[in-house]
Amino acid sequence: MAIFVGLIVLAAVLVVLAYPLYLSRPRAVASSSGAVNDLLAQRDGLYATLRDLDLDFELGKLDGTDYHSRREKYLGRASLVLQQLDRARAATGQDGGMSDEIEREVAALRRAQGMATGPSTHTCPNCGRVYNEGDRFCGRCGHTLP
Amino acid sequence: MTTLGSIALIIALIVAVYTALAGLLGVRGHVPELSASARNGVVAFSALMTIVVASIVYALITRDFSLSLVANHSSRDLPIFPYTITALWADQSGSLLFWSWILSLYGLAVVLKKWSANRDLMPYVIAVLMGIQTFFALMLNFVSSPFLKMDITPVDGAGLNPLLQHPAMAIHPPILYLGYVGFTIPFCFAMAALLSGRLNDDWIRTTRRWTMLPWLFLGMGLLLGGRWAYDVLGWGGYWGWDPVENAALMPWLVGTAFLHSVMVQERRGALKVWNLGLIIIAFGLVLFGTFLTRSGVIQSVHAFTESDVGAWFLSFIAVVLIASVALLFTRLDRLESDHEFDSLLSREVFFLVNNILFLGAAMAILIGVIWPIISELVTGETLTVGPPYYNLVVGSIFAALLLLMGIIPLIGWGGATLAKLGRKLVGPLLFTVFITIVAFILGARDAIPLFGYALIAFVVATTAGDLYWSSRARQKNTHERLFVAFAHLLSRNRRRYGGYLIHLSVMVLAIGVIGSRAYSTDETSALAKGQSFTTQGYTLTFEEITGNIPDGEGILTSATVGVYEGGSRIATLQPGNVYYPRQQQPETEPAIYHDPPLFRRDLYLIINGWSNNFDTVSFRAYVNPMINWVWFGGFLFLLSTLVTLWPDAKESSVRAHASLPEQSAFSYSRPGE
Repeated sequence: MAIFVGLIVLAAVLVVLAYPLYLSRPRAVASSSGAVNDLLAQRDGLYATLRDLDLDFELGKLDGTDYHSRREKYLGRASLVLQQLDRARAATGQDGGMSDEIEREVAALRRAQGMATGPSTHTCPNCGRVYNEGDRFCGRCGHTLP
Repeated sequence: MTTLGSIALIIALIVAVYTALAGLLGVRGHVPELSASARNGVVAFSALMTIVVASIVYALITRDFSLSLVANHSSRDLPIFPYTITALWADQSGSLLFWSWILSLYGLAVVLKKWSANRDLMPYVIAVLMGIQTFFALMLNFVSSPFLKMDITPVDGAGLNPLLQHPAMAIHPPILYLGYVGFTIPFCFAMAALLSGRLNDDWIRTTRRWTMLPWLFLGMGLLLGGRWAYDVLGWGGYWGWDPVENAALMPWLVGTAFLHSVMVQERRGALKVWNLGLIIIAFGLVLFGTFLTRSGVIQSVHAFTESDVGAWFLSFIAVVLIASVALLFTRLDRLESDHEFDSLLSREVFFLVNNILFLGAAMAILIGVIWPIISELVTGETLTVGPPYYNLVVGSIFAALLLLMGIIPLIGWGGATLAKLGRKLVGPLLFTVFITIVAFILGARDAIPLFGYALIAFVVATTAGDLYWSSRARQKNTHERLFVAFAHLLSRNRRRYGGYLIHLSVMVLAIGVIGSRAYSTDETSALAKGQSFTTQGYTLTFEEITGNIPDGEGILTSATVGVYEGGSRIATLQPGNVYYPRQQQPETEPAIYHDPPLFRRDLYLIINGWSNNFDTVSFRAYVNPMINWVWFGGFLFLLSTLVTLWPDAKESSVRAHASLPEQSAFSYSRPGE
């Protein structure tokens, strides 16, 4: 009896293993999905750095000059990463195997395109935060923008 | 059922080999069907191992003494739940099976969770994972089989080791195994990154939680092990620098280093080789720990030849380490740091120092653990190093780590100026001096514990200070209540603030460790009925003793002792001694009185022995100050780690609405100034 059940288990295992081999070809893995993940990891790291930087400045661990120069630097990197991410996603998007979450993210990025063009585009003269074209007041310090 | 289990184990070996090869060939040969088949292989393997475990548990429950595992580790007297089932990991082959089964479940979870998001890495992850599983399946099939039969089926089994007949032993080993085995997953991702050449931060980002989870389990396993030792072993302590304890502590320390250093890689693109190295070392130590506990090598350098598995394990560790280090070397040119450190006085540099100290502590313990082997090889004489070595070396390193833990919250990423750091230090240092004076007044007069308490005060001041000021900053901008501001801060940046909560919980634990180790006392006294002795303000009166009480597999002798403080009776303790005739082994059953105000101290009482007619009984009473802070700190450690592990609200929102970096980066909705 046990041997009979064992044979059934073996048959079930063979079916499970062979199923993908006989199924229609799985969608090809987009070569750039790894690149997107790398960029996402870089982006998250930069976001975390910026978040900590803001907090450290707020708590008086950094002086203004250091804070502004570093913030500019990291914002520049983040903008660059977002642009690369946008391009990589556009390439991967053709794959059709993306999750809803990623698709939403790409859509959000596309909406944001043209605004994140670099760190030096528009920065608040008071606190250094990057702002969008048309903003009248700084979203961080409330300073009237030029 | 056992026949089915044996068949499933053989099929599992074949599936493991196939899956490892299919994973590798699928990705290298660009055959996604083969990769998908490998993914299914992981699922099939976990199902097969579950059948194997179920068949062994069935054999244990039905008392199938024809199996060596059942006959040698259980008996008809043993309660089915939990001890008959826990006999699974009392056996060598059973514990290897348990190892492999837990790893198969981890593998299943990883495949289900990460297959879609990490399609480039996952086939490599599967190949490495199933390569490791192949080793275990080989061992279980050919070297140490859980289905090994007895030559003659006995009528009854030999019973379970009395030391393992404790409720903590029903949960401590599985928790510890979840920790040990879980470190395999980050190792597989690290190897997948090296094999695939995808050496950026993807593998780090993917594995952070998969590292933190086993790290939590291992930490809890260590604490539960300590509690078990305290409740069962009857020597009044909870940590003895035993090789098996050390075996679990070492990967935990390296894992702790890794959890800190990944932050440097994520933020600064640095320490890439270091992080890969740490994961290799952590996994190597996990295998070494399994080898250590299963080979008996520490008792004698020659013991592993007597064991079924020792030589195999040693060979496997050598293969894993050589292969992974060689792989790391071949990728060195692609692992250069993206950015140099800006300043020596920066959080990233201090994290590096913290890493070196954690690794140093692990290596110091490793040297202590293998010293008997080294000494026997060199001098022919087995020399062991005892607690004084560990207390001095590891204790000094821990003190340095506490100092860093206190300074780091005051320093920002990228760098700080000495002047700013100096200004930030004033408040915490004043608090430290104040607490040190209070500790001195309360009776902490010896230099080492006083220094320890000063360090703890410093860490608490800077960490709680950072939490407070961050919450105040948010409160100023959002006009929330302070507690609400803190909760929002935590939910938006769980890593930073959850990490601080973990640090604070470790401080609670450290208060207990220092108090209990520095100020515990013990006193022995032989008493006739009605006689008393006094220790540390407690008066203990021997009232009664009863023998020959049946207790599971053993026979219990129990004494009744009245405890008085300031003339009033505060407790009745019943220390015991259980004799297990089957194993011819006596076990002490301590009785503990927890003195409640602020977890002041424990009175821990054991029976040392008695005269033939019970006229006189010898008692040993330990008084352990602040020991319950250890367990309470452990509980807080669990809670704070769970808080940290919980998905970050900010993280989810960033994923869902990725927009401009500055919008995502801010923790504050509307900073005021």
